[in-house]
Amino acid sequence: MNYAIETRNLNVYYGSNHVIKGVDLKIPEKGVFALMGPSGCGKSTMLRTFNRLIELNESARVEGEVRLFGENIYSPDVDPIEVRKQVGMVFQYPNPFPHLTIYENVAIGLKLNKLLPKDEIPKRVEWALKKAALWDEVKDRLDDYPSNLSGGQKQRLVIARALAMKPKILLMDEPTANIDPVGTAKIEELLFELKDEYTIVLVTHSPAQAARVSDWVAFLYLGKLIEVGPTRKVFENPEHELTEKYVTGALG
Amino acid sequence: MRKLLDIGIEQMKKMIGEMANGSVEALESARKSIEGDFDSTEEISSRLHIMRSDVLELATELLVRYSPVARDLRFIQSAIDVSYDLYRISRYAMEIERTARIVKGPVELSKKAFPLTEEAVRLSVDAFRELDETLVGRLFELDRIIDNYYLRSLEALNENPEKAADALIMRHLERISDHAKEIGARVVYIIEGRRI
Repeated sequence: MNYAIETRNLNVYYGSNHVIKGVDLKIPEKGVFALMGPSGCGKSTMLRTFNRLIELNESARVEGEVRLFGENIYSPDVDPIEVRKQVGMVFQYPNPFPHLTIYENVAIGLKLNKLLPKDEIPKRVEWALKKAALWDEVKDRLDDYPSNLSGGQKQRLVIARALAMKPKILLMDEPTANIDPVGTAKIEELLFELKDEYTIVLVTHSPAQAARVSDWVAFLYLGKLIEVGPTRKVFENPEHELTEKYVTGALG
Repeated sequence: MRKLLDIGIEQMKKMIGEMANGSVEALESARKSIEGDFDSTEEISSRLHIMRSDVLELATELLVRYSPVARDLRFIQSAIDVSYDLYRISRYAMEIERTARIVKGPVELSKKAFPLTEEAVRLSVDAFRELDETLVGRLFELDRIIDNYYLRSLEALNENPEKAADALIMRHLERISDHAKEIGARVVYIIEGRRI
C-alpha cells in the first residue's frame, strides 16, 4: 500500500513538555483518516507536524521523521513553504480573509504563488468552489464578502481556497466544531465526495464523527498512539481497553 | 450519556432474561406433551413473540439515541439475534406439542434427546446472562449429539414409517439446539468481537 503520510518515531516537545511520544503512524493515500482523542492528547499538534506548521510555535521541537509520499519533510534541504503548497489546511474557526471577496479568497493563493497564468484563474476558482460544493450558493455573488456567509459556507469557502492550490493532502483540524448541524452535515458529505481524490486527515474530538466519516482511525491518548485501524474494526471491536473506554464514552 | 445507555442495556438484559425463562418453560411444556400432558406452549410462544418486538423497539431506540459502539454495539446486535433465537425455540416447542397431539407413534429417540436439548437451552441462556464463554464448548458438543439423534431418527423413518412422530419431533429438537448454539456464538462475539 502507498502511504501519503508516514511518521517514524515522531516526538514533539513544547519546551520541556513532551506532547507526542514516539508515534509511528502510516496514513494511506486517498481516503479520510481520523485522528481522535480527548482534549490535550496531541492530535492537533500531530496534525501540525504534517505541514511543518508546528514550527511557527517557537517553543516547539520536533524529533523523528514525517514522510510525505516517502520524502522526509524534516530533511534540512526541504523548504517548508513548498511542503505547505501540497498540504492544504482547514482550521476549527472558518478563517476566510474578511477584506477579500468570495472570489478573491479562492484566487489569492494562486496569485501570490503565481501558480497559474492570470486568464486561467477564474476557471480554477469556479472549479474549486464546485469541488467544495459552494458554487451554486455563491455563483451570483462572487464579489460579496465572506461576512455575509453562514459559518458552514465560510468553512466550505476555506476548503475551496485550499483546493484551488490542488494539494495532495488536506489537513482538517476539527472543521465542524463551530458549525451548526446542517453545515456539519454538508461538510461531512463533502469529505465523502473528496476522499476519492485526496488524502484527508481529520482531527476530531468526536468519536461519533470519526465513525461517520472516516475510513481509518487512530486513537491518541496522552501523546501516545494507542490504536489504529479501519474505522469499522476500531468501532466494532477495539483491540485496546483504553480505546474501548474512549469510544463508549467511559473514559475520564 | 454513558449512564443513559447503561440503563437501556440493563433493561434489555432484563427483557432477554424474561424471554429466556419463557423459552425454557416452553420446552418443559413440550416435553410433557410427548408424555401425553398437553399444556400452554402456544400461549408462551405468543408471549415471546410480543417480547421480541419489545426488544427490537428498545434496540432501535438505543441505536438511534446513543450510536453505541464497541462492546455496547455488539451486545445490542446480539440481543436482537438472541431474542429471535429464543422466540424460535418457543415456536419449535409449540410445534412439538402440536405434533405430539396429532401424530401418534413411538418417540424413543426424542425422549433421549429431550433432556440434552433442555440442557443446551439452559446453558445458552446462562452463558448469555453471565456472558460466560466457557459454557460455549459444551453447547457445540450438545449440538453435535442432538444432530446425530436427528439423523438416526430419519434413518429409522426409512425403515418404519410409524416413526414419523419421532423424526418430526427430533427435527424440532435439532433446530432448537441449533438456536442454542447460535446464542453461544453470540456470547463469544460480544466478549471477543469474533464471529464463530
